[in-house]
Amino acid sequence: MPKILITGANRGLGLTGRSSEAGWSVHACCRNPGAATDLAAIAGDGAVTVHALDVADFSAAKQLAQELDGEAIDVLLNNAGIMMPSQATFNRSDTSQSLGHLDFEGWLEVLRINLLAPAHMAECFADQVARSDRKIIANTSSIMGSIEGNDSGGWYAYRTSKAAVNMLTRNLAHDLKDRGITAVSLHPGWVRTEMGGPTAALSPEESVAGLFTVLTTLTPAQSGRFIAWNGNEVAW
Amino acid sequence: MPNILITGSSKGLGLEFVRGYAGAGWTVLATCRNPGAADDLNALAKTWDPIRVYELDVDDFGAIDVLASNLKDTPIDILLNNAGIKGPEPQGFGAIDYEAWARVLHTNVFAVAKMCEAFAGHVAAGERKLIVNVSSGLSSIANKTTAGRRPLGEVYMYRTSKTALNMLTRCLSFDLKDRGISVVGIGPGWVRTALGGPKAKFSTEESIANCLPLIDNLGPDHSGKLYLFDGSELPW
Repeated sequence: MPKILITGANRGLGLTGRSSEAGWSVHACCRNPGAATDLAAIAGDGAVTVHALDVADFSAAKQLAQELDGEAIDVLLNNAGIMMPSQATFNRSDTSQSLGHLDFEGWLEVLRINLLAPAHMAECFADQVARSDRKIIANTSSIMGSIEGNDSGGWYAYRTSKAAVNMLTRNLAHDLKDRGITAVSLHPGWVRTEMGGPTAALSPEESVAGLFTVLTTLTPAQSGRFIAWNGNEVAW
Repeated sequence: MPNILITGSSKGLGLEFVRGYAGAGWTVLATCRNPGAADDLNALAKTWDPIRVYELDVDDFGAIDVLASNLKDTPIDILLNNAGIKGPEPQGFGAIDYEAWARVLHTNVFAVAKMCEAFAGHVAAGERKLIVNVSSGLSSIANKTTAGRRPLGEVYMYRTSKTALNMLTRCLSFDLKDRGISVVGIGPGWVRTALGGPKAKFSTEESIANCLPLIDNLGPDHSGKLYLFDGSELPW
């Protein structure tokens, strides 16, 4: 039974369910499992184990890696991410990411969660991934992290965090190649979630189905790439 | 006589930029953390009258606001965000110091954003209306250039900070367009400075001899892009 570890699993709900339905074993990590009642209710054919984990708490992440020491983890999915601490949702009236009003403390928090934490998780779980069959580390990025695709400015914290995590992906792909690990950045599409807002183009189901297909058909030749939910490559 | 504000001007490329622009007849507003210890810069300022030295630690955002306020009646033609750090080595996979990484991001990304917030009005009032951010060939995720010859990986903090800086440059190019300001990233090449190390390919003189004509030619058509010292556009 393949195994996936998903951070921010309360948001990546769909992917936890999809993986479980497909018979995968899932380590679903989220900050506050007590509040993630939907997560607890998910039971597919696979086994879902819920863990309390704030990815920005590096000692907690290290501890979880020690607890799962002997395991083989096919996919490490660094899915936890934030737009801005003050901004749970895609809110155009929030100016904390607008030039002249930049909230630097918030920006640092965004980078800690969206960039530093995925690097730390990769350091902590590289052994478990290397010992699995599929050997995949996937970082949830975003089209908003495409520098080429940025044609409107704004969203400084979120955009820089996702551009930087794409560089992290390239570095991981390079450095972990010898261990057989494939590292990719994923663009989940603009999805109708809490972060994406109600006017987003995709349903969570469409995005999740696409991402699961991408993850389960990845080849080592795709390592270091930036891949969208529909399998298309995204420009840096 | 045009003028330019250069951060991090006590040594390395910054110092050479000061020499280059002063020699070309520009007024240079040269900032550095500790003017008292900036012997080379002070010696230059004695030789060339139009060099004015200001104390500024770019990580001190209050100090940036104070300097911007003190210079509020001074239009600035070019703001050259040169100050930057590499972070401690080693900084490869398995050896990442996360607090140091946060400091690298602060200096290389946040401080540039803060400088642009504080000095956008000065630059908008200048003739050239140009902001130049010193990035690096190592910032390119696509890594398809000879400047990116250093293998991927190795310098995680530095690379991700410069990729994030590129996204910042791109964001600024849109957000400052209405004020007539162009914002461009440059890669000065691998230079023998404290940051580049003794094995680097170019002397500071060689790099600046390339960068000055490059910067001379920058305008609205180049805004939101990244150029190497030789004038070639670098892929993201």
